[in-house]
Amino acid sequence: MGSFYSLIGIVLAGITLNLAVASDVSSQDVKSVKDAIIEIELSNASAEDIFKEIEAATNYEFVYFRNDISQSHKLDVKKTRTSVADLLLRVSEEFNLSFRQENKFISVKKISERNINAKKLEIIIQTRTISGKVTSMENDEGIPGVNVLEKDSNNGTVTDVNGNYSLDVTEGATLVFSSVGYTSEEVEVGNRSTIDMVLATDIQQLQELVVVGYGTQQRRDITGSVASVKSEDLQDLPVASVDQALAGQVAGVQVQQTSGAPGGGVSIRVRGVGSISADTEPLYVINGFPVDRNFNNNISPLSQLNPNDIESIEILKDAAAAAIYGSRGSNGVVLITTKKGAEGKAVFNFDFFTGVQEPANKIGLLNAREFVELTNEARNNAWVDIDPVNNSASDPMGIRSGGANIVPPQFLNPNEWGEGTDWQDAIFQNGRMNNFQLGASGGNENTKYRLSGGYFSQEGLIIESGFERYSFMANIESQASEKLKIGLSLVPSFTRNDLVDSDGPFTGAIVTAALGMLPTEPIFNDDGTYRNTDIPGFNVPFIANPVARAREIDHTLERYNLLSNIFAEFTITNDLKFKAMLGIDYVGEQEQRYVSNEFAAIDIRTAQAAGFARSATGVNWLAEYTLNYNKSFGKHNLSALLGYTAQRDNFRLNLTEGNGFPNDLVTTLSGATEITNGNAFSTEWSLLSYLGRVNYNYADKYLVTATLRRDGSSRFGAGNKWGIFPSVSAGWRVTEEPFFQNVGPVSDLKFKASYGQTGNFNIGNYGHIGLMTNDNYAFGSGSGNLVSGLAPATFSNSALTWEKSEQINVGVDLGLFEDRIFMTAEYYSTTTSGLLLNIPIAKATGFATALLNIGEVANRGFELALQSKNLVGEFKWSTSLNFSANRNEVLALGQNDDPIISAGLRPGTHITRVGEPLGSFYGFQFDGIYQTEDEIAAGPSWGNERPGDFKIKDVDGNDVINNDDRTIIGNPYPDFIYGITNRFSYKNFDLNIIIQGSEGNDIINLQKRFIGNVTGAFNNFDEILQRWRSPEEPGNGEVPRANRSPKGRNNAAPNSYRVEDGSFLRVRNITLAYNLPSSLLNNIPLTRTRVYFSVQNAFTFTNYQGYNPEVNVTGNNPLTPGVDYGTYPVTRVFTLGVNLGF
Amino acid sequence: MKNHMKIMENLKKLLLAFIAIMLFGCSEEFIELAPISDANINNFYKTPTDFENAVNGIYASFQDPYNEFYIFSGIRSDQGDIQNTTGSFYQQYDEFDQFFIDPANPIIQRTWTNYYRTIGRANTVIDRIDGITISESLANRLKGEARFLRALAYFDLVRIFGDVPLVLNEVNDPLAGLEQERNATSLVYDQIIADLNEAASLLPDSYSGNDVGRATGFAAKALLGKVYLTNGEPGLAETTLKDVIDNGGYSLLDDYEAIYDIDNANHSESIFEIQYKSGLNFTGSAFTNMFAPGDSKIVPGDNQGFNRPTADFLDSYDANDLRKDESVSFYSSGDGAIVDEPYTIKYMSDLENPNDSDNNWIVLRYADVLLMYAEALLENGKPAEAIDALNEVHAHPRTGLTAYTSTELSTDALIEQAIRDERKVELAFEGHRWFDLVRWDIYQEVMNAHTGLRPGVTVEEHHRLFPIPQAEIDINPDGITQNNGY
Repeated sequence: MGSFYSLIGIVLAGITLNLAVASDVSSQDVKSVKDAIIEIELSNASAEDIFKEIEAATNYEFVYFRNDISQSHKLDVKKTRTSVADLLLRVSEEFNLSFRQENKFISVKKISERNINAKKLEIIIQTRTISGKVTSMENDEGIPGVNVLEKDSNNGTVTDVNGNYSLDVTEGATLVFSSVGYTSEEVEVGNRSTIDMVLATDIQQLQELVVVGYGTQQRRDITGSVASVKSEDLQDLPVASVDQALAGQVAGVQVQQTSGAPGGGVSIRVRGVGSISADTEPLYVINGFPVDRNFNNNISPLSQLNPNDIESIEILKDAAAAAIYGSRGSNGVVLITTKKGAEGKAVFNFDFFTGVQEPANKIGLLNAREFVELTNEARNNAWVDIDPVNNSASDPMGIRSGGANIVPPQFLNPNEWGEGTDWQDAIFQNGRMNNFQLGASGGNENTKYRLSGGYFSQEGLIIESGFERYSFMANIESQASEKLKIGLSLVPSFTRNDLVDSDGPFTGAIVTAALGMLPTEPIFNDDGTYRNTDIPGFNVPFIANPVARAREIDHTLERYNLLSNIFAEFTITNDLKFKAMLGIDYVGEQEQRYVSNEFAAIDIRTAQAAGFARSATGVNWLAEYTLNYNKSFGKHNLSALLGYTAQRDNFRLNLTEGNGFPNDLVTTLSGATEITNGNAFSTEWSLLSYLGRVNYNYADKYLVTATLRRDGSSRFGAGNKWGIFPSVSAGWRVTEEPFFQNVGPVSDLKFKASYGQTGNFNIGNYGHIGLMTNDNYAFGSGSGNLVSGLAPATFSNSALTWEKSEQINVGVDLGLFEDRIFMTAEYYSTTTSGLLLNIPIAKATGFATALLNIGEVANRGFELALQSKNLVGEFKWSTSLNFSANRNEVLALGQNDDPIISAGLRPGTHITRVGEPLGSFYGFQFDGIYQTEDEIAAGPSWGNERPGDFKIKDVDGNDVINNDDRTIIGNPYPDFIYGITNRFSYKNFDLNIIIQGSEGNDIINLQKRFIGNVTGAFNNFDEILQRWRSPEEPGNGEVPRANRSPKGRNNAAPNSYRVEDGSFLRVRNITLAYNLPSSLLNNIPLTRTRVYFSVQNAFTFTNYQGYNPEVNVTGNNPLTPGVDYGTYPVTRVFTLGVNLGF
Repeated sequence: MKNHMKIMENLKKLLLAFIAIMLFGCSEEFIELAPISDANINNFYKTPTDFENAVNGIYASFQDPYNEFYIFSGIRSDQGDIQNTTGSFYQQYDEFDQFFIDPANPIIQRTWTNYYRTIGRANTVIDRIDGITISESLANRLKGEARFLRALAYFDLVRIFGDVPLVLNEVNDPLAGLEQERNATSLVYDQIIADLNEAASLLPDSYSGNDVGRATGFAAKALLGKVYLTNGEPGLAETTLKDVIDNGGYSLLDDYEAIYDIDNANHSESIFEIQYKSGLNFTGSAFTNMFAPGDSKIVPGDNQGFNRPTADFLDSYDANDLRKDESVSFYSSGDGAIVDEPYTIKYMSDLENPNDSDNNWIVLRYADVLLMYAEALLENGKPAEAIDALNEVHAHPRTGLTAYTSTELSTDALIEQAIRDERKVELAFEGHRWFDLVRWDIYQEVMNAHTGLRPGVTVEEHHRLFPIPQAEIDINPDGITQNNGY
């Protein structure tokens, strides 16, 4: 039966790796020649004779070229019972032939000098390539990572990211499909070459792996509070940095997009604010590396990561989960895991989106005519106030004195003015956004890789601002030997921010300047130069042209990041593994700023062109060694972790400033004629830690986890360098109990409770050591000479140590109707003691503040997360909802519990007082507006009010209005926050809507000091059209009369007029996507094509007058939350995107 | 069982390896890190040079409060006011001019903070200097300087706030401030006098080279004379000031304008100056921009028109007084929007950068000593000698005026008025007027007659002092109480 035709087939098979002959193989089992036993007796037989004999006795077929086989050589075979293999080996010896069994075909080759080392006998019994796609019953989507195994063998593979697999199997094999969270399926291969499999979700075995500190755990075994966000929750969101994508997605985590600056960061609070002066941002751990970088509104360190490279984000919320991070865990821990490669042939993904941004809202301001009316009214009132008896609003300007009491001649007739200049339009542009990313992943059973490269660019909403990122990522893991696994993760990136002076008061920032600029003034003078607000002699504050501030100041920040780590994991026994990880997080920064001669010429606050160049290098290295032990003894399952880590950070900075630029042609410092300042600065911290964890469960029913960490940190005083952070948590899976089977619709029920201690070490590097500061002086006759002076700047405090948080968490996980509804509800109570507090102290000590461990604050809260599959048919609808309420209360402060009054960019805006939340708004409570002189005379007042001015509440009731009447005028914290994500799909269409909201928080709108001050010195919110004009025209009862020289406390000191309700509901994202059906894709080499349209920040419903109800200008300081003092507005982004797989 | 043994064996090996890594990996020293780029208190205060630098740091701490001293001495008085009064920035200054000071006024807070910073630095030097090896002469000088500077800070504090906490040692416990109370003015004066006597005995009479400008023994005596005069001890004032006049070697400059020349620091008339140096080193003064007329561009920067000569003050010059044109000037903008805006030119200089000028603030100069001496003599019943001392200033060739005669000043009251008028113009805008009015106890009558006060404003007895900063009361409500009337 040997055939030349078959030979061709085998050659082809060798080329294509697909055995073309496979189709005509019978379904009969093919045995290895080693297993095929025959009885044979031949004498004087040629090789061909032997082959024929074997073919007769078995179903093997020999394939050969006759010329290869010596016809003359003969052989005797005694009667024997032997395996075909042994027989062939003997033939091989005799005839100098090699054999290769492929399924039932045995090809024969002559051993020549060229292939002298060829194997004498090779057996390949993998004869059928089965390919197909594994999809989820739930949503028809491919399931990646499904194990596809030939039953009773070691032969298997894993599906790729789209659920596709391909596997060579033995004839008659049975395939087993299994994946965490799905029911396993078995199927006989039979004649088929394509087997598509649909897997159902396994309710009982929802064994989702969740990343926890220093390892992973099965979701069902977790007894602490860990929230997980998967890559599919982050996709389609047009954000520069992944933290922005978390908004509204996790219960107990308040994500505020405080600024719309391109590449800008967000403020993240996990379960409230537990600190006063240390950082309140969580610890970020990227691929096991705790990164330590400064976070601010304008630059997020997470912007170095392409959100598309992220596989999952886990947030360790309770102290039990976070205690493994010890002195850094008390603000919660965010674990970011990047995508890894999967076994299988290379899969390429290309992702692209392009978008355009517009302001999410514009602030309603006065037009030119309304402004001029205000000016007249304000100045007339100021004039009358000077002498209410003798002066009148109709007095001509000639007899008036004082610039503030005179209406500039061009403003005398409001009706000559129309709309005027829209200064917001002047500083805004419709910024474009583009993102490209190409990724490749794949691997074999030993080595897996994923590589990606991306480019992201975003033009800012404010002219001249923008952000660019080049990001790369490589994850490679290899099973180097049976016992040793090694891996490498590299995350290099380059970012460039074009910065503008967006935030802050009008004297130095674009946004408030644009809001305050007089609408009567054009952007440019007739000669093309920039126009400022500048009316000499009439007491109009100078505002430099914000367009000029954007264009004529050049400010860039470039960052090079390289987060890299390598690991080696050695399997000591099946149960015990040792892992070593070494990593470095490098950041290099280059910042340049140049204030041009052009700008200096127009701004009275800028004397001359000046620039600076700043370069900084941060190197943070980590060495981490862990031992992992896993063992099951019957129903007892035990795992344990022991670890040791050392981490050190070094940050160096060089700064050079110069001025005297002769022109604007050279803007680097090389163009400066004078270097005015040069500074170099270096700072370090180090941390040594020992850690351990034990997980134990009995029959998956009773679960216990205990952790312990011991941290030693350079940041703390000699007496308090080391601290211990323990935690314990326990769970009870009621649904595993025999008595709780088939109880109504309950498919899963778990109770859990935990207790843990964590710390916060963010107090700066040398807080415990009193530092000296340079304070130089001059002596000598003539014009004097500088001499160096030094003076103590801070107190020494050798007892300084971390803040300690203790948290109790209780919760329940409940699944109903086969987990179609899954709910987690948790209650927690945290007490943070030994607060690191830079308290204002009696200045008579010689210092203004001191850093102490003092005070206690509590956070108590309730969280609910609900996932529901509302519709599961062809039209699918699922909802995930989260709700969190946190109450913050100061329990103790300092020695005498004296309150702390803090300045949120203005003096005395906030108070931190026992029994109240941290940083409540503080000031005068207004109690309506005086309508008449009699009303003023009737009670106590500040002393110079007239009708139309604010009535100050006599809070202490002593009939005197003074500073003792300041009181709490608002709460910066919400009553509750929530997020709702709805996902709809029908056939190939998906629609996702993310809604996020906050209810009951106040904002102190400090820019009202000028943009709401009713003085006519600045343009104002259009709210002031509702101002008091007379008892007959009282306005809305909240806005006082116009007055260029405000009386009482109208525009002084913090007051309730500036406090506004910051509640909002924001439709964060709407995305409509279309997956091209596979039938269309057959003719093109694409496995996946998805197009989508998305709107970020689609709608915001709020009563707040500023740009953004999530504003938090001084958010880094926990004592001064909720301040709006001019900030980069957030944008609405329309994007169109496509995801391709091939 | 065998398998189990093997596991145990492996475990043991591994643990050993693990422990080895821990031991070799890092030691305790790994977490002992000291500041790299800042000197710290633990390694400072060891050498004479350290103490020289520390004493320089005390001087430097006066730059902030004296940058704003004119607000208390000038704007508060009938001599100066501010050009713009509206807007919260100007309001904090206007409150001084119009006797309406909010205890939360940031200037009030800054002033308290600044002076106590000086005192803290001085206390640290005084407490620690005996612990090191240092030549006696240098130690004496440094101790004397520290005591002089501490006395000056307390003298300003007590004049501004009245009773204040008397802190005389380095504070090592940040919470110690909660125990502080306001000490009686008399106690504070006792300490000031003790410090100045000590300083006078320790300090040299003069310096050379780049030490010129440091506090001298005669600076301590001149200040002591002023303290005695303020504290109602004219006898002691007279003898102390006489010592300065006879032995101090000071003389009036021929050219009045030269007193303020930025290239003529620490001249022969100057007894003690707060020194400023431009060059973007945070050592420049802000007077030029503060006093230049608002909306003017006469110097670069945001000019404010503070300490503006009032109409009342402009009237107080004798028509022949040459000092007027060297003290005040008038600005008009080209477009007619601003006409004849008065401003003091004593602190005008060319600027490269805003709020960074070379102009010093003269705390004590010889003319002040002569006039104080005249005042003391008069109080001690020596009118003729008082007129002589007064004439040394009044009839100096630089004034263009003629000497007073005893017929002209025939009564003590006339002499007293002449001395007061002389101080007003000779020392105009130099940090004296308000404190003089209080010393003479005429602040109510003078200010209530002053035309710059707005209708309805009355200066009352309690306005002698300024309010205690609200924040200090908030921090320590039991120990720190508010002054009457605030």
